Amino acid sequence: MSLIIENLHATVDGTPILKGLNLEIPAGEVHAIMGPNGSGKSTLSKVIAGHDDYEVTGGRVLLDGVDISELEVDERSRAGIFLAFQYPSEVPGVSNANFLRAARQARLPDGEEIDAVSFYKEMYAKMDELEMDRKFTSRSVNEGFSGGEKKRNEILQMMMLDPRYCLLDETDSGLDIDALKVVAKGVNSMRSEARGFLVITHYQRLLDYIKPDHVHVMADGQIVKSGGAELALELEKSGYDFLKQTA
Amino acid sequence: MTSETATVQQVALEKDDIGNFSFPEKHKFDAGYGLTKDTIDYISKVKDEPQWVNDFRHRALEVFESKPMPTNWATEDLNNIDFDGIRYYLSDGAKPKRSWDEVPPEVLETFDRLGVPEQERAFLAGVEAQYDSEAAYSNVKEALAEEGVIFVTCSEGLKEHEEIFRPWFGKVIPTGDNKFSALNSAVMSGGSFIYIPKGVKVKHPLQAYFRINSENFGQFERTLIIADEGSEVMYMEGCTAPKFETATLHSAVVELVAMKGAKIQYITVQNWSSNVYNLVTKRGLAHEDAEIRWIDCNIGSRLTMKYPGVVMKGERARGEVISIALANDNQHQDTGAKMIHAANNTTSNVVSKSISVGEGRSTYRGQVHIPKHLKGCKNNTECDALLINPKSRTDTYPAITVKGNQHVTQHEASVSQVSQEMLFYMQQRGLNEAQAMSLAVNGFINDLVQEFPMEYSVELKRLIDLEMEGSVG
Amino acid sequence: MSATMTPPSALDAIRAEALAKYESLDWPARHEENWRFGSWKEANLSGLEPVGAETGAELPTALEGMQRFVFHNAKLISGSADSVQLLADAPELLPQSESRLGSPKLSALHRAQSSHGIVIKTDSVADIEIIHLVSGEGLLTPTVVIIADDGAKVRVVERFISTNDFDATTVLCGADLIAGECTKVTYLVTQELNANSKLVRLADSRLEALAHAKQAVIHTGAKWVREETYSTVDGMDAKSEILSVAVPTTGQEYDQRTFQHHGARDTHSDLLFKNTLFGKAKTIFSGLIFVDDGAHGTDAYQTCRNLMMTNECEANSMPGLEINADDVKCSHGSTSARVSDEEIFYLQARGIDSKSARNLVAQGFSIEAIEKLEDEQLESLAIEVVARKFAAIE
Repeated sequence: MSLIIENLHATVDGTPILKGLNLEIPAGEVHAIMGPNGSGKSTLSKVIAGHDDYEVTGGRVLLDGVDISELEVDERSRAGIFLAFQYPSEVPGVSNANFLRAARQARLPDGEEIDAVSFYKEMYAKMDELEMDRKFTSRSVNEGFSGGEKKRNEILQMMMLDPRYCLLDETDSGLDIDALKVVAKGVNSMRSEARGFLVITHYQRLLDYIKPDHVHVMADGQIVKSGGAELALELEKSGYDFLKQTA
Repeated sequence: MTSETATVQQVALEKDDIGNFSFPEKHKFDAGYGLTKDTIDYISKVKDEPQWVNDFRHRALEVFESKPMPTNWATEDLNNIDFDGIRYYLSDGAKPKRSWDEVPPEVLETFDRLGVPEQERAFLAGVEAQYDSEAAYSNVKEALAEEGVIFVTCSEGLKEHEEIFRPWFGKVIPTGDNKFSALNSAVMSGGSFIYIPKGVKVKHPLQAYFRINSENFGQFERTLIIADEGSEVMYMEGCTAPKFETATLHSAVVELVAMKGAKIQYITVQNWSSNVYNLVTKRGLAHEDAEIRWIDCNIGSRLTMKYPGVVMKGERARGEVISIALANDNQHQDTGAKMIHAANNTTSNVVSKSISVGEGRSTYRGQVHIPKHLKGCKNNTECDALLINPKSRTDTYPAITVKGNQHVTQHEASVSQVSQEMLFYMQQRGLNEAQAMSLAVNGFINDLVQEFPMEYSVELKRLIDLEMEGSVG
Repeated sequence: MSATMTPPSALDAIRAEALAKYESLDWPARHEENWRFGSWKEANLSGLEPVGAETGAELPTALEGMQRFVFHNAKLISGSADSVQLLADAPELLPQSESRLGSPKLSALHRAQSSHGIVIKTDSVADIEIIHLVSGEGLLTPTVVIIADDGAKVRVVERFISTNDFDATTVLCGADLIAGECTKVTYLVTQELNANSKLVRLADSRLEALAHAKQAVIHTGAKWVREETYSTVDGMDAKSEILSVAVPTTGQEYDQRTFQHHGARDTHSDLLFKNTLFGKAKTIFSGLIFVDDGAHGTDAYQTCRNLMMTNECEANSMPGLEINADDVKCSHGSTSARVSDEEIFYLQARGIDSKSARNLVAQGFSIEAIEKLEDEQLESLAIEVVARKFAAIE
């Protein structure tokens, strides 16, 4: 069982960004992707999620053996893809609780209703784990939230929606060390044999807390180097310049 | 994909179905087509009106005929109203019944389908159900009647309680206020006349339901609510009509008088079918420490022109207009508010949210007037428009006049749409595009929907969701 | 570029056509939407004769680094240069105002009687200062045309100054700005006429792709001003900023109507008007943001703030939106209030008397808009003009 990205080519406004990317994320593993700005890291996560600004011009994405390339954004989500956004959107007038309920309800077969009591119990428990004030349930989604609060909210949603493969897009950006620890704790609590993670990050720091099984380096729309966790430390020390040498 | 198309069409049918049915016309009294002095006399005769009311009507007819159509600022669609092709009075001549058992079967069935008797049993204090030109049913709970609450039709009010209603009748909205208030004053029929005695606080809402059953028909109800000192009342108004081929006209006048310390809340959920011209004049007069709130939701009709207003005549009076409008294809919702400050330390608040779907157009027109000899007045206006589709339209035309430095006014308006990024975010959480759009739209009007009594807010959300279906994709 | 006169026929033809149009139209009347709350009677300029020629008067300090042109009434009394033309030499450039804001007759009158003006046309850099010295009883019809061609950077200051305190001059001026692709234009106008004079200003501007234009007006003088500012943003990624600071007092009425027209995708406009009303002053602001069908990605803002300094002033605001495209972000806001008691208290607690405190806050209120010019030299001038008005008000 894995998430397989096979020779993926994608363009935005006609400009190629992903140029034949290959990656396999088996369930149970955490893979990290690092790379310089402009390498296409964020694009990768949006393409897997199915954002229609991007056109896939070659290759495909397989989720546990099923080609999801033709599926809509919401269909992919219900199939098990979760994207923790780098810049989460605000949804004015819709409370966090109602939003999560609607998202959960969308996954139930027709006619089945969410049980409110157990839903709230579960949500509060997870909020406590993430050290989120319960007041957030009635606030509008991400409206007026600080950067750290938004990222925590993303992880809360991830914990409530039970995805198969989680794409964390620069989840650590804008977080102070304490918030980072809490977010990492939440992510780590979800590590399991049945779940795979793709952690996209600019800085090695996050990987001190979410220890990856594999680290990949992305440059100019492709994976150019793969290795174990120590690769991240090497990058930290030498920067991305070494890519030019090994290219 | 075919099953999806089938679902969408079925939904469209259901939406129109709510009120889209009619019964064969069985009128005993029919004033015929067109409006002349004879039409007026016919109406007065059928109702057995006192002479002063008949005179009032005739004067109004003259005013109506002398005024031009206000197309210098309003839409030219008004020119499509064929005044000669409208029937101004249709009824079965009977007095309104006090019990649903006595109401003629088709009329009962009409209101049953619309859920009215059920609502009355469940949570209302009184109901008036108007069928074409007259009320078929009008009843107020005994307990209230015993406290002196009067809840009758316009005709009954003017005839049997002249001493209470005549002093205020036509004072808040004079006949000559505009062409359509003049029209209403000439041919008014039906509507509620309500009097709440001093200190009586009516706990449950009073409701009126207006139903047009006949084609080529104009409904002209006249409502006057007088809340005496310290009293409180909430009044709700709902309306529907079947979807006829020809246009119908609904031109109502609503006058509210809140005496010292009184509070009136007037709630309307308008869902006329898309062939109705809905031109309404609504105004309240708030005395010292009184409060008048208009809570208005406009979803239906071909053209609605309605600018609820409050004249704050006494110190510390409060006026508020809360408005939700939804304009879909071939609809123009032209709504707004008029706040006239006429005493010190008065406050007015306007919150208007509109949603334009498909090729619908929503327009906001506001007027705030604070003259110079006053002090301590405040106005806050917020109007926001949400555009859903590429051809959706919206306009905002407020006019605020402030004199002197003793006041504070604030007006803000914005236009936005549900952004692609927001939709992507919601879809990534598993909601399909329609569900995401619905959630976003509900979020947009959420604050205002809370102002409606709970029973209505649920129904409102449902109506809005139905209107939104098919707008996406 | 020499100042030769055009053969009479070309200019005469233009004037004749305009005169015919002028005679076919009516003066503004009571029920016109574009004159709502305004003094439409003041707009009736019939019977006014053009003012005579004059020989000059004391001039304000010249702005450093700017080419200066001085007119006294219709006569150019100082200045001549390369990037500038007298309107007399290029009458075809005389603007034909859009006049959608209620004054087609006045616009035709301006065109028919146009007495003088300057055309600034460049594709590089221009820094121009124009002084209009105004005197005499009658009508004066100046014009300024700014044509910024591809990549130009233009700064223009235009000042209207009465030479004495009593002559009732009516200035009917036209301004036309065409900001070509990738240009940057900053255009500041100061109106310092005497308390008996009137100003009608018809200002049109059009921005092409990637142009960035800032137009600012400071109103301190005149007994009646009617200003119609029509701004069209016609090219992608163009940005139009319109600023106004007005400080009227008793006997002064400022009627300003604006139109922000978005005709292309991804355009941007931002309007900020700040009025500080003293005495029995009256202001009227009407602003419409109009977004064309297809002008998606428009970002348009409009703010009008009124600071009411006395109990007898009057501010009318009609901010408007007419939106015909859906992917837009538009907002407008209008407020009116007096100087807050907390601010006065704070200043008094620092030893400043209440009246001075009020004026300080009010000046700060105006300066906020001026700072959006982002041009130190022009900002200083604007602040100086405003400060002089504040000092003159008792």
